[in-house]
Amino acid sequence: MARKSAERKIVEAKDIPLDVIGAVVLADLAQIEADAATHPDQFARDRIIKAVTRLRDIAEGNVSVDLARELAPA
Amino acid sequence: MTAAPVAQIQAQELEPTPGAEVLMTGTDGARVLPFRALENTRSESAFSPASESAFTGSFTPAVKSGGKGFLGISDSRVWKPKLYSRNPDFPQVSTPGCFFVQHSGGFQLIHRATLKYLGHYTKSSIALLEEKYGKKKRRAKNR
Repeated sequence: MARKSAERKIVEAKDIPLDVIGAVVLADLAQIEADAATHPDQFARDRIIKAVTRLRDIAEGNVSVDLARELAPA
Repeated sequence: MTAAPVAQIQAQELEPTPGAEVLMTGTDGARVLPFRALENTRSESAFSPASESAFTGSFTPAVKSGGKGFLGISDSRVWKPKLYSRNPDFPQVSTPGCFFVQHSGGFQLIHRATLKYLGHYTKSSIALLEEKYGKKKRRAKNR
């Protein structure tokens, strides 16, 4: 007899384990970019993709040296 | 009105003066407040290396900082290609400490240590992750 899978509740940002928060951020950005491709409005699609690309650059440290210094953990 | 000699003023500056005695008018006979070297100034100093760029107005072009980026994301260990995969339908990328579970046409990302449900990702988003962080496809050499 097939077991019905229980509804899982997605963790909130404050409950995300620290060791995987980077992976979750990158995965969420990929999900946003994938969903943007399905947006009916082309301009909105472009804006979303530009925003996602910029956020990914910031998350990956592709920023100015000064900003990178601020973002780096002490 | 004669201006006090510079040497005299400097000698006066060296003497410690209580603030109540100092005249702020700056007129003839007034004492000049001594400037003391500020110690341990960080946010107040206009000449700290961190704030220099704000004053120079120079633009530093974006470069790969070589650091960890935000939350250590630029560290290449976050998402990496899977070396061995038993099931080709499963994502070909992985991240340390997590695993995927197939669910509702996509995949759930689960934290291995706490079994927390981190998120659901469609196949298209997984494809993007594979494109960015997966194994680079080798181009066939023309012989």
